[in-house]
Amino acid sequence: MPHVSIPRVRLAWANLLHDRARLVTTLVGITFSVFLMLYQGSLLLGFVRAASAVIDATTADLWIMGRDVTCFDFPAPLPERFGHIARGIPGVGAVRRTVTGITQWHRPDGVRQTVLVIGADEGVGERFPLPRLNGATLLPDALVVDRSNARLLGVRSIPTDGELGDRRARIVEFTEGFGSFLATPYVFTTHRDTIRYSNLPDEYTSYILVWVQSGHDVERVRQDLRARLPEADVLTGRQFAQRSRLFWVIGTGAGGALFIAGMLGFIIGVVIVSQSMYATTMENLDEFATLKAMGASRRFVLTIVLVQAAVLAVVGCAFGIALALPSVSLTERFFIPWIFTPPWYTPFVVAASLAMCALASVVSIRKALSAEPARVFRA
Amino acid sequence: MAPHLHAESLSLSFGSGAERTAALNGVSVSFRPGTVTLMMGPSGSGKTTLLTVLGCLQSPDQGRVHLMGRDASTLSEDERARLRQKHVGYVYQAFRLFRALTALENVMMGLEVCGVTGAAARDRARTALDRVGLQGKAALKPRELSGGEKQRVAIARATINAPDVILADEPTASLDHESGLQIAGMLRGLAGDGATVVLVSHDSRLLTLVDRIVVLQDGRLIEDRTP
Repeated sequence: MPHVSIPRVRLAWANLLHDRARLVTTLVGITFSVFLMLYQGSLLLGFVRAASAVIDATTADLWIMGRDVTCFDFPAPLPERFGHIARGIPGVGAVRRTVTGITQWHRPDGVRQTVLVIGADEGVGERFPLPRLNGATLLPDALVVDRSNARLLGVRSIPTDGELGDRRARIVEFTEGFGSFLATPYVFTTHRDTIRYSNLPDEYTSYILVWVQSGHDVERVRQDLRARLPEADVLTGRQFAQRSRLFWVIGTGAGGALFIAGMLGFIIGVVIVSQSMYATTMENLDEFATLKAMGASRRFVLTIVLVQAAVLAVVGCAFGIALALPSVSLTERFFIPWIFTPPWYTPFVVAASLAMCALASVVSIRKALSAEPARVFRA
Repeated sequence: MAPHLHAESLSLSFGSGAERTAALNGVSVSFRPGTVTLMMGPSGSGKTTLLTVLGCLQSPDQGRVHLMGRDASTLSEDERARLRQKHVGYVYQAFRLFRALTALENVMMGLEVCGVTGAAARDRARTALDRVGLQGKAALKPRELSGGEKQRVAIARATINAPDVILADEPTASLDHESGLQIAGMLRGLAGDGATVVLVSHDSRLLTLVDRIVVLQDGRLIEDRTP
């Protein structure tokens, strides 16, 4: 038995160890619960991040788009004149375009793969993947793809030649963080080449991006643009990113499903731990009554139960995280490229697990505190 | 010397309606320091109930208990717990040791509920175990001890804080003849150190060791005499 300086911790730990089979069963349950919370949560957070990845890669202050466009992947065509109108609004600095189109990529092995081509003017943002020569000049007929889609696109090495929309094209670079959760992988190129590869009209675009001059209020400029472009929606980058995320997470129900799965992990953990702790408390009710007879305070008794809950939480959490994080890495590498565990999420799951075990111990605490000290005199 | 323990007109009933029974019915009794009192009576006479009320483990429906000059009926639950901590030691028929702790740790728990921990608690617990003749058994768990040894650990724990009152319910009932005599002798020794010892027992071996016998029947005190 480990020797620890805190006295009640010793009794709590000893009571847990007394029934090792129950302890193992409970820890397995908590491990599964933590795994579920971490894994499903990573799916959900990755899903949310992917839903606005392209928007977040730009530095535009404002986005002009068709009315009621729900997310980046499903734009409505915008006439080019909207960009000219925007340039005439006071406070508008730069105006650039982003466009999307659906077409087919002919892999080197002859297989066709439908892709979403995303193009943009230069200067939309350093993180926006555009094909460049030595990181500087934009390359024509060149593509950038997310590394996670390499196998789907038949790319074994860089560069890879193929055809996009029946035109010659070359994949010149990998990017990361733009794995699509739709069946159509993203392919990035210039605005001009997207129009060509997707056989779209020359004056076509999907989004007009606006940079507000310094000293001008972004919201004021947004309102002015809305007044001048009643047929369009004008949103800040943050608003459009939020709209996209809400569409995918709530509008499609996909995010809700992931969230519910994660919550199920929490609920399962509460149920398993509460059953186990209740059984342990009932088994040790005479001991709690003896402690109270000896003059132990309510706090003393409470601490024993909470320490048991904390020990279960910490140990179960450790196992759960040890299983979940490598699983997330493997999933990202081989199956779901957009799964994502932000740095804050693992500590959050640890905190949730502690809360889960504390919540699960409420019934046990009530039982322990209500143990009648007088019962110790009954044989 | 004023009594350590004094009970006035204690009444306590259990159950409700037609099934309500009086476990105690107007019991008044005092116990002086340095004495061993044996409570006897048939099963259901209220002996154990009286012990729990005297020890402030439960409150009477009527009447008062004065422990070390304090009226327990005026105290909160936490204050009664502190009073027990400081002044009362309990010895049980079923020993009530913490099965997952060693003998030494069981005795230490008697100190730890009072906030005494670490090396100080360990040293005092060892001394207490030595006093009851268990110096070689400190590392053993209750399941590795005989009945007599368990009861000696229980006495060591009950007396670790030098309580003024020792309440023992059938302390020798689960023990063989020799162990029972040893335990009885220990309890006598505690009274010799100035404690008030109150026993509930049917064990005739204790008759020669006690200073006083009180007899209960149907929740009433019917006899109070010297042996």
